[in-house]
Amino acid sequence: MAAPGVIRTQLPAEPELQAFAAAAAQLLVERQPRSPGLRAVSRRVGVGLQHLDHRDYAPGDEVRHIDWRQTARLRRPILRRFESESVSDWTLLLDASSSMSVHGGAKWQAAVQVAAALSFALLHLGHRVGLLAFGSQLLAQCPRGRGQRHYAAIARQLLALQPAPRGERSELGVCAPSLHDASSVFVLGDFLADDAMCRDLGALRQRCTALHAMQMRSDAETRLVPAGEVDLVDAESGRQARVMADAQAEAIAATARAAMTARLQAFCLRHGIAFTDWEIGQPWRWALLQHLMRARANC
Amino acid sequence: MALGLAATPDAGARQLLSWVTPLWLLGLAMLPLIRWLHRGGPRRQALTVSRLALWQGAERPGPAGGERRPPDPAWRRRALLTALLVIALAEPQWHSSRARITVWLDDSLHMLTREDGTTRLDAGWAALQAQLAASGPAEVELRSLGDPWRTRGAPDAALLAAVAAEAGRHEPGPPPEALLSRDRQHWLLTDGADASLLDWGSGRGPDHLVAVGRTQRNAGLQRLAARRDPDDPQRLQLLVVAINGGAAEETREIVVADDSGEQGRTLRTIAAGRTASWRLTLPAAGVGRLRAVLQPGDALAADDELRLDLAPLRRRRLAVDAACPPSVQAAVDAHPRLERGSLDAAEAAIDCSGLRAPLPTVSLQARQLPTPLTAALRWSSAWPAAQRVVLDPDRLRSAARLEVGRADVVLLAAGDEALIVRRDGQPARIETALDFGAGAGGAAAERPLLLNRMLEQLLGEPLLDGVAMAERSAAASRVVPQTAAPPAQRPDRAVATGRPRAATQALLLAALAVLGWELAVLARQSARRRAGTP
Repeated sequence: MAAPGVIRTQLPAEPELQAFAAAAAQLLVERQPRSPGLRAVSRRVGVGLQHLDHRDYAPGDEVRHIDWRQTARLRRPILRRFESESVSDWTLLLDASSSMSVHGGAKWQAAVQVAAALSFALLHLGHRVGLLAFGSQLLAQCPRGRGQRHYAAIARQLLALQPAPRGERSELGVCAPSLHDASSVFVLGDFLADDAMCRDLGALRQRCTALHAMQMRSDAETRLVPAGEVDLVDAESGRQARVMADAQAEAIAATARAAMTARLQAFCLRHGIAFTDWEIGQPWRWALLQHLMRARANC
Repeated sequence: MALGLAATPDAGARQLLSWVTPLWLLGLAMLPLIRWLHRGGPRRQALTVSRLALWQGAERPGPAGGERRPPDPAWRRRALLTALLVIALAEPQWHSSRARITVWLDDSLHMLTREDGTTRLDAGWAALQAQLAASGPAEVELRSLGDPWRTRGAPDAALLAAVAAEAGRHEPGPPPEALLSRDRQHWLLTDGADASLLDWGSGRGPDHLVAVGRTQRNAGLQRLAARRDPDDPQRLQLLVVAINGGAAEETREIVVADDSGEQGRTLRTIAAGRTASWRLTLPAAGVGRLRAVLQPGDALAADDELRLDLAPLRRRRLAVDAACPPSVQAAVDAHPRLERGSLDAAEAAIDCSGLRAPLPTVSLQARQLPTPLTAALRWSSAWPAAQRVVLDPDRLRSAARLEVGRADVVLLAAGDEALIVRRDGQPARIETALDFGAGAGGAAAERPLLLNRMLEQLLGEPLLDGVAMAERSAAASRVVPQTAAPPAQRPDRAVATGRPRAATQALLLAALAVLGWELAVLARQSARRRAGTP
């Protein structure tokens, strides 16, 4: 019997993972991206040996990649970027804050399933995959690796993780220092933060070649059992507020949630972040494939 | 202690509501405390949400500074529950304006003692009517102490006559506790001569006593017994016991008479509370009934005479088969309660030749040469142990082999061999294979007794040591009223207003209902909480 508050996480079965990996194979293979202006781009930024272009230095970047000649010429630190190889590095950032644990941990279970499926599919294609779980700090880290044995390590990590039921905030920015040479980053979370994590997403975008954001959303977030006046407790901050649990309150919350999602979506669109708002009631396979197809199309 | 809270407008002293333990009412002071404890308002359900900011627009403002929040409405239920329990503990009692009274009549024989030209029962009846009228409207039922389970109906002259006719017929006792319901007053009409009638157990007693009786002197006959003289069955031995139920020494002449006239008399002086006995013998021939009388008579004439029917002592006529051995005929002749007669006039028969008479019969079977018994004797449980005869199997002989039918009862057997059998059917028939003939040898000593026991089984009554007796209890002749007050007599006010009806049970039921209501509300809240919390 599980202890109260413990979320019983279950990973997808291997046949299911293999089916998904087969379906997503074409979407996860590195493709020559097109740059704006319809000019065909033959190369892509990534981890490799062939020099591609330059960009401004950002804190956390590898110092050894600073192009000192360009830095002297432009009088600001300039970083040398390299051409991506066909097999790239992926880092999954998993939101393990307390907001993921409410309503029976449905969002957390959905996030774990997507992370497992995505890891399996990427490792199946030969990519290197790492995992970071974050809350108010970095909660767990699985370094990048290759092969199915590495999937087992990631799966163990996922099964061992449990979001705290109370008091664990969402600070996506704590992952930034750990993203060295990350080519693709995939963020899984509910993005329920003060600014919908837009600031942290912007910072991450500077450190990777491709950034994906998949928002877990549950209708239960904006539903209340009609029980008269209730005290609502914020899972992360612990703050309380008195609310009359009725349809009007639910409508207000749903509107606020929709606005937050819209803001996040607009931000992602502006910054070239592949974004998907996934209502977790829908099948994760469908949602993930939709996201990958959309990201592929936007590349 | 009784505390009146309401009064009738006319009487002023007549309370409608009283409390048995009013100190419990101080518990009502808890009600404001309960309301104060609920001052924080209703206990709201706490729900954990992913992000509180989503509900910012629906947030309700808290009470302003100095503003008083209404208490949790649950305080009303809990206060009601507390109030009901406190009031129930205080044991409120409603006084009915129409009293419910059960009058217990002492129907002892001494209630027929005549004083001032009337019996105690009549005098007490008049006093009872007067006191019932003075107590106001009342629902009255009558019961007698001699027959408490029968309601005697409304008090009227016919009932009084019936009670007087039955006086002394049943031994009176205190009322059964099951009939002492607390919602009724219990009055007792008695002369107080029997103190045990005033103690109703558990410290209870009558709520009101209608006492009569002044006479202090009485002597009565307690017992008249007769039996046949064991040495001479033609004579009767008599025992007459007289008792002095008064407070002074009495001298009485005891006269014994039968249907033909006086048979004897004797003078006895009896101390107060003591008895005197007189033994005499009479010829039994022709005596059917006996009568003993005390002379001179006194205030209680009903106990001055005892009549005795001697029918239980009459001799039973038996037809004895001429073929029976002389020992059997001699045993019948020697029996004090048996006499030989012809078959037409006999009540039972002894058969030795296999004849079938239409009478209850003891049949002595002798169809073969007597043979010794080969096994131990076994008595049937249908034959009481006290009536069994001690027999030596070595000295008994069996003169027949009895066949036992399915419905027959074997009364005595030796191993598997039936020796005495009671046959099924009418008239009753008992057969025995035991040898009652001259060859019975050493068993001759037991034969008369064994024959007697078989005849007792046949006739269904003991034939030896029969005693006819007429007796009344010693208490029936005691006429001296007890001077002590009844143990738990209630004050007159309680008598006048009737016993209060306790409302405690109704209050406890109401408290249970409120408790159920509270539990239902809590269960509903708990279910909602479970539904709203993952």
